[in-house]
Amino acid sequence: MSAISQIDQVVQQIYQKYKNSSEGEVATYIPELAKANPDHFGICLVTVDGRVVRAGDWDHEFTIQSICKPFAFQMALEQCGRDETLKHVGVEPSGEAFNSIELEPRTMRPFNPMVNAGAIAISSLIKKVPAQSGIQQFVEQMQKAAGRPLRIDTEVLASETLTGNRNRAIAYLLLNYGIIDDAVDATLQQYFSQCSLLVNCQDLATIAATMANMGSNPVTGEPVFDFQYIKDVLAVMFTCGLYDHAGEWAYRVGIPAKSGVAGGVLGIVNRQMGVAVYSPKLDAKGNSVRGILACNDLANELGLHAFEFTNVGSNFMQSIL
Amino acid sequence: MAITVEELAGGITKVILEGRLDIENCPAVDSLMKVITGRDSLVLVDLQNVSFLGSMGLRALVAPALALRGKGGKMVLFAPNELVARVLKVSGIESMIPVHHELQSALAALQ
Repeated sequence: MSAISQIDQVVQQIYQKYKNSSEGEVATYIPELAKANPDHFGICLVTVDGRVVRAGDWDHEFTIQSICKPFAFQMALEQCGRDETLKHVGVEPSGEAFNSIELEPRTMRPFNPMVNAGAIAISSLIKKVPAQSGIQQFVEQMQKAAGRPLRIDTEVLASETLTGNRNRAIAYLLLNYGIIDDAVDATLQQYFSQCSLLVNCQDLATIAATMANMGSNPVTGEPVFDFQYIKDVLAVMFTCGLYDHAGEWAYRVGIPAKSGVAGGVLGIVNRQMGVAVYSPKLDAKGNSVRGILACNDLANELGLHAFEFTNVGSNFMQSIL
Repeated sequence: MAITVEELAGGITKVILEGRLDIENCPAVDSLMKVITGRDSLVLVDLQNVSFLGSMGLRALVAPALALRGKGGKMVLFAPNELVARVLKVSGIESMIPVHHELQSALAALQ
């Protein structure tokens, strides 16, 4: 049996194991998200040599929500460089919830680009004039990474814009401290649009695999992300990707990851593969219940954890000694 | 997963594993190996018919090997297929638990 059918079997087994799990609640704080079908459950893996493994509702579209944050951070690093980007956002895990309004005491920067405050600061950096061109640039880079045309869900965008008062408050707080400029509406428009991007599991797994593959889409071969910043993004995902569950995640699953309130979870196994799970029922911390369970099993079965004993660490070091 | 235990000459216990050594099947292997490592000292694990060895499965082999080493015993692995042999090699575990493809040499390693 070839290696890919072994992975296929692992994925199918995990899918079957959790298919009938009913734990968790669909997010309701953005009214449009409450319309999601709680039974949907999809898994997709894409390896850096372009092999694709899929299970369940892998082709069902949902909004990317917070999973846009690491890629917006990557784009800010590419467009503004490391020094400028880090003037606006830190890289410290806050251990706070996704919508926390806490800022770093001295610098008044948001703690990291994975909480809303940090992502809003990043959106301010990558927005353009007119606002639509910054949004377009984000969508274009994401669709290159996904390998197919993507679009924004205008109903979710309208719903987010209408109800996003907490994010609006965060943005004005950031303006007050000089972290973002006064084009607050354009910043929020950029941020809400990023979150409303429609993707399916295979898109997310391919985007993750593009990051894992030194920034080039492993299916199309197209270079998408600047490889020199991928380490930055993976490090922040590893420590901050799952909000106040990030420590638990690093402890149990041990790969850079990001979750979104629509029910997506994306994981990156550097130089190996991208993983995505979709299941809209969330736990109390806003993470997909089956997303976490499936990733946990995948990590255990495939030895993905950064510190797993099967993982021999840097081969590069051995090669130069 | 099928597990068979045979007593061979020279105080060697042969554990024959058949099927997928994955998350689902590991608990059964773990508990059996605990009993065997508590009781015996020389163990040959026959992997001929193991079709898949995952990270958890590898753990289920490393734990008894270390337990046996700790009490002066020894464990060897016998006849893994190509895929399983690759897992043992890439994870570096083959340098820790000897892998033999001939039964005679596997038995000799335990003498």
